[in-house]
Amino acid sequence: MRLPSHANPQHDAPAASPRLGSGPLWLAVALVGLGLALGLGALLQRLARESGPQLAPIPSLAPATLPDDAVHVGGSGSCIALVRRAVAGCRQQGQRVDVVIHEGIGSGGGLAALADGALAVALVSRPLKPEELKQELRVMPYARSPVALALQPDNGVADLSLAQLADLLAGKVARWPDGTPTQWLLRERGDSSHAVLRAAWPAFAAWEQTARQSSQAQVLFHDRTMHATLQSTPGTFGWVDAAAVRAEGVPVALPRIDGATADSAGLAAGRWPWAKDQSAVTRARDHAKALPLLNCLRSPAGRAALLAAGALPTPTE
Amino acid sequence: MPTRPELQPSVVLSRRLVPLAALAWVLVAGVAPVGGGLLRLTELEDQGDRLAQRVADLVDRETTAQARLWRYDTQKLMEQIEQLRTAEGLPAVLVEHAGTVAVAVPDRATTNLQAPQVLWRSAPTRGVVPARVHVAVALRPLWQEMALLIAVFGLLATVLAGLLRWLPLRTVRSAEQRIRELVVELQDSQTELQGLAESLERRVAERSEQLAQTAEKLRELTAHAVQLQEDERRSIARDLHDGIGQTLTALRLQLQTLAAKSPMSARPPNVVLSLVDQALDETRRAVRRLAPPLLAELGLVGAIRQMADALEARGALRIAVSVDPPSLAHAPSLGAAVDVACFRIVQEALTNAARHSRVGQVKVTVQLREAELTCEVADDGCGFAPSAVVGGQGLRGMGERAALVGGHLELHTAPGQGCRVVAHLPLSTGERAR
Repeated sequence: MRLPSHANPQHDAPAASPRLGSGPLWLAVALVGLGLALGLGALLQRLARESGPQLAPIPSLAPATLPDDAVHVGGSGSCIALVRRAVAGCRQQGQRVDVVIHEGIGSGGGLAALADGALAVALVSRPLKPEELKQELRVMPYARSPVALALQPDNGVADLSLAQLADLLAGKVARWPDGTPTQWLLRERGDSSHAVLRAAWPAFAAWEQTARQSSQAQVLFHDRTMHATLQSTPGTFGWVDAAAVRAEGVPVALPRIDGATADSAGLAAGRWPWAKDQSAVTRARDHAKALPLLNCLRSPAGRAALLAAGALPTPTE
Repeated sequence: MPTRPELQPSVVLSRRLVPLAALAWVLVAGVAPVGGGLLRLTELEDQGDRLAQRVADLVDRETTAQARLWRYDTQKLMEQIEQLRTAEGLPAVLVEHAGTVAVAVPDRATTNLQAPQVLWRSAPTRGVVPARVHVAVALRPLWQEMALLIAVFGLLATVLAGLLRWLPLRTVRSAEQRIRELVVELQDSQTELQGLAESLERRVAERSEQLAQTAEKLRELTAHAVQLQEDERRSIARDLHDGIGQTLTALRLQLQTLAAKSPMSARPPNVVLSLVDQALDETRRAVRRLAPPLLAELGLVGAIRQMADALEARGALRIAVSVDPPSLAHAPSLGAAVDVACFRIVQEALTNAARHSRVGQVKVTVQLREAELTCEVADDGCGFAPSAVVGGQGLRGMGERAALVGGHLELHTAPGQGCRVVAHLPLSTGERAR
């Protein structure tokens, strides 16, 4: 018996062609590569399409156009409420004060609008800057208003010592007596009330800085939003113009500090440490146009209204 | 035509796996970064749209309260936008009003920002002051994410493509190695088996040779035994012929002489002579049975022809005898055993034909080939069915005679188709030499 001899196993391997089956795979590679290139192209095209606004920046906005037949008044939000109260008092006394009082645009905004002629009277709650004083302006201080701590009446705080206030601002007091967590509402850096506090109370700046850097910090940009937030959010507290709060009838508590109240009496007695001066600013050439308002603010009715709101009217000359 | 050399499966597979690995690499390394980039870009666009709308809403709130004088309070608006921009990580926010940039945070230089640094999205205000807010969304996260995806998925794709190519190749190469080992084992087994086969063939050949020698020896012994038997039969036949035959002949002559000389009353009865004649006839028949007188004197072919002539003379049959080759008729004896076996088989077959076939034509053929003597007796008679034969002493005797010298007997017959008896008688080495 004889078996068939074996050939070289290497030569017995199946004679498959290496090209068989490779073509479709290479085609798939090419298609996938093409798809990826198209996807990348789509991505870059979308980026190129969103290349940004094609604008021609200009130095400043065009001045607002307002009708000339009215006396337009605007400026600091804390002044607006008080002046509206005074004008209302004058009108109740039969004085004719034809003015249009706009919402607050800040002291700086009011002065800018005054410079553009958009306003006849700018109400400011801070000292004028040197560059603002270079203009031919007439500045008439009409009241001094207290800067006070405001909180919700439900928190049960009517009196605070200065040390307690310092602890509160330093973040050492986590809850109010009613158990509500405390939260400091801040204003923008340029706010006149905070500027007064920084100037009068050196430690305040550090506490304010710490509070601004906190992740829980909430910064508000208008008196109206500050008032609204104080009302709506339990446990919040913040610094406000006490006269403006009273003038608008905002239902917040203004606790006494070391027994002193944030009103004209506290200011007059020198017991309330933080206050800011409110002034009415006019351009010299438009001063006569603003006289009805200025006279109202100096009139007994106007001053009474200021006093009622807790502001200390500026003594007349 | 020259043919391309065949490749190993692993080489073929390796070549085939290259595009597959490339496809896997391109898919894994390319699709994820590009797809992820597109998704991330979409997210950034959505984020930009949301933030632009938030700023637009903020502008709406500020300008609605001061529809105429809002432009003098943009500082606070900018601070609020800046607060939002810082919180959201936006590179720039612009407020477009009346075709100019009313507010630019952090400054007006940011209007020059473009891709690939930022992606600009915009939203219109819906309040009293028509404006459009443009928000620049930083694209750094997109590029960082794509770079990370490219790095990670490129590495993953490289590993995957490598595995995709390496694992099957490892398996195939392992299988190839195993096949080579099996082939080597098979070759070893084949060599061993071949050796065994050759050894077996050798032993079979040796045994066959021994068997052939034994068979040859057996045939020679058989032939010798037949020869001795024939010699013994002749001796007995001679003794019968020369002894009892001569005695009986002498006895008959004496009886005839006595009868001639004796008176009628004293003559031996005729029955005695008849009995003597009968004894003489039986003695002669026994002598003929024991040793056919023709075979020794005329040889095989001559004896067969003589026997055929004798049968024809009785008028029973017409017998044609053919010899192949013709020289066989004059050839010396092929050996007593073969001669006797052939003669007796032909004799029996002819006797059967005369008795049973009921025909007159019979053909006898004696054929000598290299190692075999073939004797054939064929008639065209009535034939018969072999299975119907009862007893069959004659047929069996022919078979035994053939087998005794190592041959065999063939019987070809059927009812109505005649009968053909063929005896194949192998010649021993010595007989072939003769």
